Amino acid sequence: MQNYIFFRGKAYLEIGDYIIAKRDFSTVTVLDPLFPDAYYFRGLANLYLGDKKSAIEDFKMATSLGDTLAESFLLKYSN
Amino acid sequence: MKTFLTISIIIFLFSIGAFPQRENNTGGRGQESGLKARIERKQGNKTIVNTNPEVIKRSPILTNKYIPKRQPPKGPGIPIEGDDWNICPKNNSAEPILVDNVFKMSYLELALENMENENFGTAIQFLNSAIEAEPFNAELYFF
Repeated sequence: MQNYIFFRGKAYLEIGDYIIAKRDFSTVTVLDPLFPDAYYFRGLANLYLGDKKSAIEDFKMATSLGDTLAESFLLKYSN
Repeated sequence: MKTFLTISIIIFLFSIGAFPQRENNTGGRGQESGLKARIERKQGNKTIVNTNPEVIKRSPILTNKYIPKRQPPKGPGIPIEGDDWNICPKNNSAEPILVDNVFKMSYLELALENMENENFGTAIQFLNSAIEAEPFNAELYFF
């Protein structure tokens, strides 16, 4: 189930529907709290929506779970 | 002279029955037991008296029994190659194969294929179909 929602979130992110994408990634984080990609992509959605603070929080969480891409975003936007 | 004497003695010993022991009904042909008899021959009336009835114990015959190969049961209908034991499920017209069940797992593959081709709208449709097909809809519970 979370796979379907996660990929749907990615698809919404690609077409620029960031609000729905963020909602899908939030659902995935509830279903699977240890899935780092969900936090990383929700961070991207937050970043595109202009919510830099929430994005940094998501990137921090994804980095703590071992996501290297989120770490690079964290270094870029946390300063 | 010596040879003649020896032969004569041997003939004499045979004639008086000095070597009467013999086995009856044996002969090493694989019987489990045989009779060992000491026979007294009476030359007059030609009767045989067994004075030493004894059974010779022999080891059991070590031969493999022939076990016929198990034959598969012959079931009704058309035989399926490689299904000699009739373990393949037969098509039961009373229980039709549901097309939805066959294609349920391919929604994600179709969606990923469309995402690779940058058809995100179609991918979302497939993913929505996949989510609706699941008995548990997370969105109903969390949003």
